[in-house]
Amino acid sequence: MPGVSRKVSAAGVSRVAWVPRTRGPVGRRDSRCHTRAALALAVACAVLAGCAAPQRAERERFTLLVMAGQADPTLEIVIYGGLLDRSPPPQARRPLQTFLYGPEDAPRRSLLRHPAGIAVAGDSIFVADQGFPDMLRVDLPSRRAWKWSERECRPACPVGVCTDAQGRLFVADATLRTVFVSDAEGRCAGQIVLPPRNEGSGAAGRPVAVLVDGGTLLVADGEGVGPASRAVGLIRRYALAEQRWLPPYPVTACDPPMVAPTGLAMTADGVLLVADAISGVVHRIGRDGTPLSPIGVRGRRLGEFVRPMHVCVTPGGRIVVSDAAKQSVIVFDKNGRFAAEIGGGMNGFRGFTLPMGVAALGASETLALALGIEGQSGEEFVIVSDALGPDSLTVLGIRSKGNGEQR
Amino acid sequence: MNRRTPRRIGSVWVSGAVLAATLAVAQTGAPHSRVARVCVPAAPWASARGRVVQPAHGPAKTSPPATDGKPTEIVEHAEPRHPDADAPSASSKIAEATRGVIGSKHDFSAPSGREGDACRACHVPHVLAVKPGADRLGENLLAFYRMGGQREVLVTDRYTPGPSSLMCLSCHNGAVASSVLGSAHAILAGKREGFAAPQGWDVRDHPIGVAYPEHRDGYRPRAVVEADGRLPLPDGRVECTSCHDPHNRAGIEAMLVMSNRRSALCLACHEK
Repeated sequence: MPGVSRKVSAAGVSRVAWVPRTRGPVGRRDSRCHTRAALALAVACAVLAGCAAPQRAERERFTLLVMAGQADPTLEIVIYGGLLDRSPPPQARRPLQTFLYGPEDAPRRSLLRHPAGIAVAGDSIFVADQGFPDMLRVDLPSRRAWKWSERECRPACPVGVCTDAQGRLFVADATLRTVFVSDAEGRCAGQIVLPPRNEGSGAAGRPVAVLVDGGTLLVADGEGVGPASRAVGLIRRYALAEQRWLPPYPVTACDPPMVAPTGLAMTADGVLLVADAISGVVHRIGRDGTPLSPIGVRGRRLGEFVRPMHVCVTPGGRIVVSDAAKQSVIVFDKNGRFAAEIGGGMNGFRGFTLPMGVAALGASETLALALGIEGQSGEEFVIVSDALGPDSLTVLGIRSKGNGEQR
Repeated sequence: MNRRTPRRIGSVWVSGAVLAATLAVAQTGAPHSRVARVCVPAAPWASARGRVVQPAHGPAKTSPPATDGKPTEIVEHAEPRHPDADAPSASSKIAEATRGVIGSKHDFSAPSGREGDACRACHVPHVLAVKPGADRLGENLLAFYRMGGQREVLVTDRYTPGPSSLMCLSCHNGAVASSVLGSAHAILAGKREGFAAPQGWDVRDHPIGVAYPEHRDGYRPRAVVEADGRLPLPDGRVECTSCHDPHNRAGIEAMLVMSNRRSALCLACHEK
């Protein structure tokens, strides 16, 4: 060992002599040992850090806020919080930011910018983001997001999105008046242009919401809303296999009339739900076009609508509606009775800013495994997209108190 | 005698006569001078600049009986007049605020066939049974139609648009009307927006949801802008309604609050 050596004399007495270090074969072996030791220590630290970080992040992200349903006290709403982490603030502060915001403030960048419609497919969430604009896929297990659309199918103003059993993605573009179709791998599979309301004349239809019902694509057409044409909203139908337009959904006179359909959903028994942003109700339409009693009324009180934007149906039959002007999410039971409303100032929840899309997740076990959320038996999870709020995607849990039986 | 003297004397007599007439009118209290008839728009941001001056109260004067036999007009008031008796009725206020809505892109009465729906698309009342245009005095009726829908207390941070802008965005998000979120029209100073322009755009036009930069060079003082009255700054911030009038009272394209010919709208705030 360099530095110290012992010499044992004939008398058994050891003498310690200083041996200077030399660059010989002995020194080279020692440096390699140091390098290996350093590498082993670094690997050990990395392993330990990797094991500890996810658990610590889960505890920091989700702070449960539990509130009871205002109209249904047996119902419990759990606000889990934001689904995605926000990326770190930009390293370099741009001069324009400093000029307008001041040196002490800098807006944080998020993975999503202005999410609108959302759709769930397996362990992924597809988000129509107008801020890019593009379609983004959010992987639930890793919570990573990346752009999904190819150049040929890149939307200009994605508003609504849905998936089918084959994994295809349908994106409603309100500016290009087209429904973009992509396959399960993200490759562009075609474009569907809406026909004009009056055959052979007028502007093309404007798709704002899409829904796949078996082999038929339902498209909410928002063209002509306003005083010009006295037109009411249309629900168009497109046969996916035959690739041709069918007669519009046979909607007889609704009361109130369907003015601006913005969201589509289908219940298990085949009732079509249409969120109407101007009429302030969610229309219910039977298979044969017979209008049923609408859900909700227009108003600013609890359980009423100002600007219902999107609607979804949970596996248990509950109907969840986002209200963009009221900045809240309203829950109804399967019969259309008001159950609960989630908005700002409720139980400490800071609220939504511009809630747009809502989507119900499948079996709770999937989300529990993906996000580490231990939900109760029978608990249903809903994702809400907020176009302007600090949390782009918020996770809500809807469950019944006590025995977990659904209402 | 100076030739100019008669003109000077004559001008003095004319001025004096005009002054005397003015004083006489003021003392008699002509009806039109009692109340300053100011239209009070329904939007809450404008309430600060529109006030209804209360008429003078007091016992009415009774003329003494004439001695020449001619009848004398007697004005008597058994009870004090209501403060709003001479104020514009609620229905006239609504008509004033909405005359530009009828026939505009914000008129949603045609699809429903209901005249009242021209207002109710945005001004959602508490009670649907309120009859539009009912002559109810005061602000009670207008309170039903005050811009709202969102919760009463909205905490806006430095980068969040105000309540009025959020109401605009509830439709102008591509679902009902043209989208502002993904366009280059305006920067939405949301927390995660930054100054990134959408793909295909280099820059954006104008920020909203930011405080008016009243202490910066190149901008007119905030008091000057607000005194003009045409460009509202809700809570001292630049919002959608700073440039656009949802009621379209001026009838200008894009529902601007004033004409932007020769950049007049821009120069109302920016000093160039």
